[in-house]
Amino acid sequence: MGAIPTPGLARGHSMSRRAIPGQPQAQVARTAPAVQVEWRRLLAVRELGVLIALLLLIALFSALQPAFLTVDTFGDILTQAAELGVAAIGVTFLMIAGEFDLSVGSNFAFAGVLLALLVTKMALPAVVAVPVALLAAGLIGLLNGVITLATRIPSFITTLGTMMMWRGLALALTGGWPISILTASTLLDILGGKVVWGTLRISAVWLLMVTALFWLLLGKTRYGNWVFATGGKRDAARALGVPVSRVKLINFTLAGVLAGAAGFMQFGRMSSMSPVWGDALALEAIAAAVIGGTSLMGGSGTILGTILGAITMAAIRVGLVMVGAPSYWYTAFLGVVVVLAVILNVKLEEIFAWRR
Amino acid sequence: MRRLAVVGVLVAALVAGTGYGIRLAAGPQQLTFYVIAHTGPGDPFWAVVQRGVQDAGKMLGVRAIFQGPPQRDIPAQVNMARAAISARASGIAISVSDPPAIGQVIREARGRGIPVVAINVKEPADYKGEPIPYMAYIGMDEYEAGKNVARFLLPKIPQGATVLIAMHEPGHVGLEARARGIREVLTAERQAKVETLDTTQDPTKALATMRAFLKANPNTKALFTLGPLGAIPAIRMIREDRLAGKIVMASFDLDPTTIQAIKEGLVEATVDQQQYLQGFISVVQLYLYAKYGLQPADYNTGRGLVTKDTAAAVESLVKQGYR
Repeated sequence: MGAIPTPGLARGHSMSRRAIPGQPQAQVARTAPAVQVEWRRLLAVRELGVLIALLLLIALFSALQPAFLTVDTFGDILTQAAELGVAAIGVTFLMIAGEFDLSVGSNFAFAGVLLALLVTKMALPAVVAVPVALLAAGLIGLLNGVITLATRIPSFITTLGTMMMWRGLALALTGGWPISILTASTLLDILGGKVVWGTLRISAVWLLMVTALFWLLLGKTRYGNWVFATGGKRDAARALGVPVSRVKLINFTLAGVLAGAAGFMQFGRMSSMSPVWGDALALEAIAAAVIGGTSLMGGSGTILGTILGAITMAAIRVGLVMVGAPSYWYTAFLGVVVVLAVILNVKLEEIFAWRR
Repeated sequence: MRRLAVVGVLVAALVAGTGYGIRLAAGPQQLTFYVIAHTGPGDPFWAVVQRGVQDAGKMLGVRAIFQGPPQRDIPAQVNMARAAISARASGIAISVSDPPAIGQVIREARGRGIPVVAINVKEPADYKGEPIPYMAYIGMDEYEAGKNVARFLLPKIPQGATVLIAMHEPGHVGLEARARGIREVLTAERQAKVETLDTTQDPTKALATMRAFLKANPNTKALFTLGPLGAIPAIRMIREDRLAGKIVMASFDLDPTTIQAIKEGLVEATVDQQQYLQGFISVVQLYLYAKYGLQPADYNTGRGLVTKDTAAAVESLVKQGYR
């Protein structure tokens, strides 16, 4: 797990938060003694809040149920976090650029159902069906962006509408039935069914790969800086030549593609795809991003934080079952953790206000 | 100017009059029945009910409309029922998913002279609220069905075993009644420790929580799921963790994955409540009442279990969307 905070990581993020191309970076803490700087950088990692929350939960669950602290459990948690995590990465990118997508759950179901239909009813080979369905997912995302930018309707509203539309179309396409593949299938294995090691499934590997890719894209490329600039001070960004609209359109498309990919993973994992699945995904993805320190106002956020947020949410579910907590309380507990994690994030940000 | 006004008023009156006349003429001929559920055709189970409704409508030559929100949503269901009342339905069939809320709507409909039957789920036997004036119940007794399926599995459940019930919609009256039936039989007959787990409708979460439960409770000998949304991830887990032979499983309702698993021996049995009848018979009964004043009567659609012996025959009917 690449979750251990490193000073280098911290600097990368504090720089890119308000980074505007062509401007010199202000290094505020330069005068402090070297050791203190390192320590402060460590504390200033944006993922610190969620990391503390996650470690506390792991400690709590392990104390109550020793079987929690095993590699098997961790594989289960990571596998459970996989679909949410992949979709949440797209949502995080979009939120940093200052937009929302509430339709990811519907896109998840629609693209998953579309793929399932293409390989069953239409009997298309997987090498054709997967790109076609992924393209459809991307176009659904792009459509959100085009409507939002062309009409200046808030994306919250645009995607609220498209959320209903694509869910409805997924239901209409299937007549409400889950589409199942009842025989062994290489496609399903690759998408999410295959065991890699122990309880770790290939969907968790997809999560790690997507995380690495988008962490690099956001933190290490000019495009990443554009994303932060777009969601931060838009006018300044535009004045400095950041193609704000194009960045947003690309991010809407990415959110769509990743939502579709997450749907494929669930299809692979369950050998079935139901048009009602992914129902809570949009809000859970936003919750994962927010627990991980992404701002609802745009302009700040990290990929690692989001993934840790998704893992935290999965760990809570698995942990509460294993310690034998009354099952109907889970959702309430999850809600408490979301609020506490956000409070923690905000407080840490106040304490380390020098980061701004 | 004045003549123009008079002509205008006359034309308006004529148009309005003709419109009213057309409505009067068409009104009594086209009987319209609404079947309103708490979940729409998004659940495979309700897609079959919808089919029963539509088939009955076609056969009888009446408008038979099935409506339900995409997911279980009581306020949305109430709104749909209100709309049907406003549309002066010739009859309404409705699932009593929430006795106080739906009871209120049913009273309202009956108060306006609209016949109402209950389908699929009714208020529990010990319901303390105001009596709900539906004319008949067409569906399965959930509580009895839970007891039945638990009794069926009894020979395979040892004394004092832990038993898991996967609940995919907590708070659903019917599902909770199924769970209560299962729990009562197993605690009485086997002194079993019966646990209910909120698995949510998300299959990935369901699988992970069930697996975590089994890890924390290795003495678990039986698993009950309450519908396909619970069964699909449970069967997946039984396959992945090779639990066949270690844990016996039973479920409710039919879908391709569950039937396949019964054929393979991964699942012992599933309750078939023949929900096609709930759509079909409710429309037929409402039609007969509207047409000839024949009183609707209770109709038990829950008829036993699908097991390995009957799975193949039922499977082809599921594929056609009738079971």
